[in-house]
Amino acid sequence: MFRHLIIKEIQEIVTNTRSLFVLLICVLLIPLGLYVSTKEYEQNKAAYKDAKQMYEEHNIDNKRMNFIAEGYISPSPLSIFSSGLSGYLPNKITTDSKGVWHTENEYGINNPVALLFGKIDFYFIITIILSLLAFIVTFNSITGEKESGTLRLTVANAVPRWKIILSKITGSYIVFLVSFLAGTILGLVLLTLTTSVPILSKNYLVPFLVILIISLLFLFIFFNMGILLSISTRSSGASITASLLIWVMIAIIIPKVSPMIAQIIYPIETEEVVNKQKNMKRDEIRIEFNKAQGELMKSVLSDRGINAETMELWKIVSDPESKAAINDYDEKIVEVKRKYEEMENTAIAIIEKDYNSQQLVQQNISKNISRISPIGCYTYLVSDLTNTGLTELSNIESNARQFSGFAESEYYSKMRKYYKEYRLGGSTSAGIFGTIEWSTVKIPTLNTYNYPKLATAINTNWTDLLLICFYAILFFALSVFQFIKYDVR
Amino acid sequence: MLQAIDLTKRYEDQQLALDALNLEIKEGEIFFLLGANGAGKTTTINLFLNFIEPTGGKALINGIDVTKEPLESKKYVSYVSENVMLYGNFTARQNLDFFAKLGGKPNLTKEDYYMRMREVGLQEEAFEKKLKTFSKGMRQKVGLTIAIIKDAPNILLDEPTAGLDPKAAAELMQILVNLKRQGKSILMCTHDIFRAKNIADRVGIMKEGRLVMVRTRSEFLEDDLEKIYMNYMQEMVIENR
Repeated sequence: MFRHLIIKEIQEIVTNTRSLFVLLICVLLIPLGLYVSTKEYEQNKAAYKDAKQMYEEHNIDNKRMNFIAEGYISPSPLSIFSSGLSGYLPNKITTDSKGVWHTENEYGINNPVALLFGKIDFYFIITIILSLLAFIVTFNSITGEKESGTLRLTVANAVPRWKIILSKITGSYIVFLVSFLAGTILGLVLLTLTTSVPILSKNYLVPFLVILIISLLFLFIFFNMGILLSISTRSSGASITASLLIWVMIAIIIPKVSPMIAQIIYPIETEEVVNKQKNMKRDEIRIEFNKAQGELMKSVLSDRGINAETMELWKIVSDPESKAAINDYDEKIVEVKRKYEEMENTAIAIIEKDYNSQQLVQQNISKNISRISPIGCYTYLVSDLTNTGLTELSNIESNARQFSGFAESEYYSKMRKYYKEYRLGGSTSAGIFGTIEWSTVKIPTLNTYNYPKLATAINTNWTDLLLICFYAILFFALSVFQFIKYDVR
Repeated sequence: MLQAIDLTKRYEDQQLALDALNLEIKEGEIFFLLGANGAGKTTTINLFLNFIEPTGGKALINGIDVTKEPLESKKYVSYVSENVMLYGNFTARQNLDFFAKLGGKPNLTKEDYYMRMREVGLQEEAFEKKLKTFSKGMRQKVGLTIAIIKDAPNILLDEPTAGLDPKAAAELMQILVNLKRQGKSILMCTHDIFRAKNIADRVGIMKEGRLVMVRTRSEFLEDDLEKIYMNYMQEMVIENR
């Protein structure tokens, strides 16, 4: 009997125009979304290769100590499924001889209109279009049958209610699944035929299958929510209204409002203010350094029996004691300078660390609020699986540190052997002296950027994965229990 | 056989929809339940089908308590509702096929369905047409065919002639008479007093949840059922004022 109920459900949905609409949307939009995202990835990949090559060619004969090493980040291959923060994430790491690194984003904007309206990638199709279609397919699954009287007729037979509701969920989900999978397979075929991305290779296929399974679970939530709303309302009109309102709430309001609520609950300074704080601290330390410079000068002069207050400046050039004092100063100031630089770096690092931890707290509040919506959980999970999520921000930092270390060991430390500072007239200059074995000093390049492995990404986002499973079970159970006591009259 | 023993339903808002109904409809009997809107006719059917739970008494189908064993009791009852819509995108035969399987008749052939549809007077060309193209009378006939196919010993009909033209209603009544001859117990809720006079074996009038009068065929033919019914209705109008 259960089989008959499912078959009827499938037949009923298939004969409805809505299912044709769902099929059309899936077979048109999923391949289109995948294709456009892949083309964009290919463009970014080509731009990355060009930039890397230009950097290497430009600097190969221009080795110097004040050289800024640049590491170009290869775009995440999995960004073809979800662009996530791609436009915002840095694509270049720079580091200098002091080990100070920075990250930059050099992506150009080809078409600003696309930014205004957002991209239609696989993630967008799932979270916005298919979640809405799931509601549209299910909104009258119960109310419609109630209005047509078929529900009374069905329940008037010796059929357990749990079988009726299970068949409804299963049947409608199967139909939806067929459209969705048809669109996805078509998309993969299109990518294989028209792009250079080896979509069917293990590197792509395994993460994609994981994303696919999570997506199916995610859509299952919306299916059950739609059916639950159909059970909880008295007419199809009320059901579609409630479905649309809930969808707007889940898909738009909760995710967009959560950062705002987090800002209210846990306000933090803007980056501009923090930069000002950093500059003020730098100025403060530099003033102290200037004072220390003066003190040191006084001290070295006094050690040579020269009174700094009464000494005549012109004598410095000719007076041997003054010259000796200046040499003492030059020797000692290096240490003082190093100490103040260290102080400055430490102070800046404290401000940055403090700001980063505040940002993290606010980010976590925001994340936790948005997790009320399954779309929040799905977004965090899928964006991290495709290496375009929030985790990538800290991953870039660790890659930047690695690159900075690499540049130091492969370039700066080698160059330092030949690097000398010398005084020319009244000022200090620097240069390369001696015979350099140029072949041992290579321009540092970021050859391997480490994206987190699939298991790591899942492990980092286990909360979201569990929540998606929880929502799926919750709404499924609620639908079944609500229907068992449903008033079919 | 259909039995109601002190069957009572009080809703959560304390409205008494059915007040200690006692009723027994035997095999081969057509019982018409008449009454104004809200008199408790549909509530009685809803209780027999276990769509709602009684707050007192019990409803029995072939001696089975519908509250205690709802699934078992439903095997012995067919139901025809007012304004049967069925699945509009399915053909008449597909609708029959689905409900036949639900009713425990999984092995019927296309020819079986055609035969039953012929019996209720549906035209051949309608068998494979989508239900959404059917008139109300045709849909009611399909609804009745569903009840016939189930071949349950008891049939509940809730205002099946509402909105039907006189010819379609007359055809429907003829089908009920045939079913009665097959030994079915038939309970029909209706406002249609003329049909009651034509085919009912017994008639009951309901008023504010109570069965206020029951007449056998010979009694109501003698007493002028129309007049009795109108008197009850008028009383109600006066009371409401």
